[in-house]
Amino acid sequence: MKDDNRSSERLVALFLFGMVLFNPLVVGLFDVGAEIRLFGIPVLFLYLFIGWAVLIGLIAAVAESAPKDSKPTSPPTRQAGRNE
Amino acid sequence: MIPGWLIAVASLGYLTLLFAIAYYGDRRSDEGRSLILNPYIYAFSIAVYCTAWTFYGSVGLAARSGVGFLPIYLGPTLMFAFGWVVLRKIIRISKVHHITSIADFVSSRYGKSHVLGGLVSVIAVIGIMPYISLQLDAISASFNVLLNYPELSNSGSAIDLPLFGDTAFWVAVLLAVFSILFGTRHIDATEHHEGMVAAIAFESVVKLVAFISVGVFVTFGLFDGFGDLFARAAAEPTIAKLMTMEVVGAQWAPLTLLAMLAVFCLPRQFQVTVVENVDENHLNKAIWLFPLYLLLINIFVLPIAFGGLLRFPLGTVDADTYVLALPLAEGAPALALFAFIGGLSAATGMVIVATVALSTMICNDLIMPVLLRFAWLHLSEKKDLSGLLLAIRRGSIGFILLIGYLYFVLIGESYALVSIGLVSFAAAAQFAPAILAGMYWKGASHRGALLAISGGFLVWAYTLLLPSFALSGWLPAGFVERGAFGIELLKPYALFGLDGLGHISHALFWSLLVNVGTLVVVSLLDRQSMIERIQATLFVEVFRQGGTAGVGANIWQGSVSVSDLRSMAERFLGSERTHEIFAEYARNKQLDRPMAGNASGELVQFVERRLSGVIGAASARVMVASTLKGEGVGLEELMQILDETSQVLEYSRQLEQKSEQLEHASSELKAANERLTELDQMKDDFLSTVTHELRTPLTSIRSFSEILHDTPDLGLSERQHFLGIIIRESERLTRLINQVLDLTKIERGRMEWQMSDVDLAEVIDHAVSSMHHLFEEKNVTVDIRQPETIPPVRGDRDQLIQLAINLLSNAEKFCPGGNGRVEVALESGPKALTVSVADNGPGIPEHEQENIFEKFHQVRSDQTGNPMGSGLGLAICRGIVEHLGGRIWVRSKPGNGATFFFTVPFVKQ
Repeated sequence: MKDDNRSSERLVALFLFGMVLFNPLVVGLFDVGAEIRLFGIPVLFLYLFIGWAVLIGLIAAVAESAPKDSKPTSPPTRQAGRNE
Repeated sequence: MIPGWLIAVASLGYLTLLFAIAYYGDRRSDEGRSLILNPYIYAFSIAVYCTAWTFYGSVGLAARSGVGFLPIYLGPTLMFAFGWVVLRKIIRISKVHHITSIADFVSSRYGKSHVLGGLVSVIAVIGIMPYISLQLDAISASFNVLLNYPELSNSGSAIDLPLFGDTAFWVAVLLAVFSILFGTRHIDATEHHEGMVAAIAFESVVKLVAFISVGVFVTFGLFDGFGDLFARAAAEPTIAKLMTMEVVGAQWAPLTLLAMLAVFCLPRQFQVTVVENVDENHLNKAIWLFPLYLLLINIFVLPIAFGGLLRFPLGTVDADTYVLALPLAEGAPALALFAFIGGLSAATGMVIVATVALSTMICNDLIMPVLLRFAWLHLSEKKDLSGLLLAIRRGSIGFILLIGYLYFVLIGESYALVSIGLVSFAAAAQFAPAILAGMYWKGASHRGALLAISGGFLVWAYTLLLPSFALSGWLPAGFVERGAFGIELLKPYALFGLDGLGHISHALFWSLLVNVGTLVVVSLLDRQSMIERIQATLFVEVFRQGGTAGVGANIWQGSVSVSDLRSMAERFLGSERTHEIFAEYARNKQLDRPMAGNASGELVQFVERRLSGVIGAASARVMVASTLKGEGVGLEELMQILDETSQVLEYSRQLEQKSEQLEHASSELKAANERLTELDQMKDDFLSTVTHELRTPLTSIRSFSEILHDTPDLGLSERQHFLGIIIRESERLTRLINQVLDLTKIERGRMEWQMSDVDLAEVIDHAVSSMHHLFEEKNVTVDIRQPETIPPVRGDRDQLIQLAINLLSNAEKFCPGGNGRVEVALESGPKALTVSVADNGPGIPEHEQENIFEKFHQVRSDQTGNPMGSGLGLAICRGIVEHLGGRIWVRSKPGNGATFFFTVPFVKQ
């Protein structure tokens, strides 16, 4: 359960990081107009998409290292009463 | 231009394939080899979030406001980072309580309230309606573009033409049939629609591939990669403006928040994320796979938008249709058809899941409670209600699509795709405060939630829905421009003068303000009923209760018979399924006899939960309550049980802490006990040694006295000899007793110390001279080495003499006769005087050196094996030295004599 909490804390931290990453004020810093382009792509677009990708990568890293819940969840076997 | 029959065949072919997948998925699940039991399918099914609105509308929005479309996808990314905390709890709660929809969730949390469940259902239907009509619009509009390009491509929705009205109508009918086939094939207690989920996941793949194909075609086919495309776009001043935040405005943050809330509050998202979830662990992958999906599907939005703006003169083609128009204009009709199929995927996926979710709500939380409450007698005559349930759900699906179509015909035209989608988002967001507060705040009350959701909904309707009616001519246009009743402050797009935010942000601000404010204030002033408090505790503490929610089972104790319960369940589940449920219960409980008589509280609760999986928590409760004979255990009592349970949990946590402390204390006690045992052992040893030591001289005194007594004719010399022995033994006895007394006095602190400044050199001289004759007798030489001046030490002179004598006599005892040699040395240290007494006797073995100062520890002579002293002398020495604040120790090498050292601190200056 301790590791579980650990992952939760990390993900909450990532959530806050994302809030900063996509905060209008921070995004505004990269709002440098159409003329300045990096690898042919406007800096604003580059920042948003790369920032987004990095955030997803970090979430993945935390989520994949999280322990699996050992509690078995009910398999969706459906021996349904067919009432068609 | 693509012939109509080809489009129709492709569409129907695609839908048939979809149905085949769904059918296969259901088959597999019936066989117990589930198709959707993996996290990837789960993540793809959540991507039903991307509708036709994403597929067509994102490009349209990007063409107007650059990156302004992104918050809709960044919000879910952030929310899914939070997913571990929030979504996992929602999923756990829903599994434990067999939640079937978002309305069920809210109603269940707030005391299984019908009113609340009904309200949420109504709001969901009204709120999602525009969204569904948007999908119909998108399908018919894209069909139109494909069929008639380039003639009609400048108008996304052309309702003026009767043909298109018909197209949308037929689309609606087709989708209704589809949803019914997917979602309501049978009534099922687990409420999983595996086939539907499999089909939805497949659709997500199709729309992603289709959109990326168009994006690659535009970026690398029409242009020479991203660099070329952006360079040419930047050259156009109107497009260059889209590469800044200026066009986005103040919408950015509010839209992010809106999307965050919508991604779990939209009924269809709740359906796929929570209700259709088969394994909580799938969330681990989904929380990054789903955002990754969103990222991928959005990469080419800007390139397509800019490509369209560059390719088509301003205003000739609706930006919402660029995805289709660009391939068509550039002579790639096959790609356009594929893109159309992608859009169809996006739209049908949304409509199917949304209608299934909404129909479940309408059935479980709106119609059934009413039927059960007001027409119970009538319903009770029916043996099997599962048919009725299916009929209600199917009817609901038809109804939803019908009014979706009507909305499309009457209102939809006046809005761009994106605004309609956002209106629905804002409606769904009204559920968020009640859900989130419900999961983390036990105090959130039923009345609070009811008023909060109603209030938020009314504000939403006033600021978003009514204006859309006004813009469509249903209400006077002045309503928007001058406010209700002509009051400026009540202008729906600028309530109380709040202006310049954008309609959606404006509505979101006011509705959430009213919503959250009402929830908090009313809840704080409210008193919760018992059932509310029970449900609140069960929801908030779902992880603490081990996920079983076993408390509260006693409420139904002994109040309903098993056969009544069985027949009640049969009405909803059918006899086969009911039989299975009862068998499952018996299996879990390992009952070998068939159940009879009154049902146990647990069984009733088990059945209620299963039933709630079919008809919702509120209805299931009414059903079970109606079969009760008596009152059962009162809610008051139940509450008490619940409180007790929480207390027990609390106590057990405290106990755990206490037991840790106890463990610590007990290990200390154990050590102390060991020490005591040791001491006890020592005391026993002491006593036995003392008596032993006393007995030896006593025995010899007695035996010699007896000889003297029994033989009166003993010679004088012998008589003298025996008497001499008796005297010596008596002296030894006296000495021994004195030593024991001294030792005990020292040890118990009873010794009277005459402390004074003592010249230790004089003490040593005194001791040596008092033992002079002993040394001479044994021919032992004594050397004393001492510095010229010795500062005085603090001590008891008599005791110090005793100490010196003890050590000297010890040395004398071990010295070899004839050439014995004892050296006494005094040495000044910084703080204390060190005295050493060395002999040239046999020495002390290494292992004895430690113990030599213990009481009665006797070093046995090598020659005779007999002890050579009482074993108390050195113990007394140690007692004296330690009392004076010094130290005593020995150094010895066997064969080379032994040296005893002791220190006595100087008088403090």
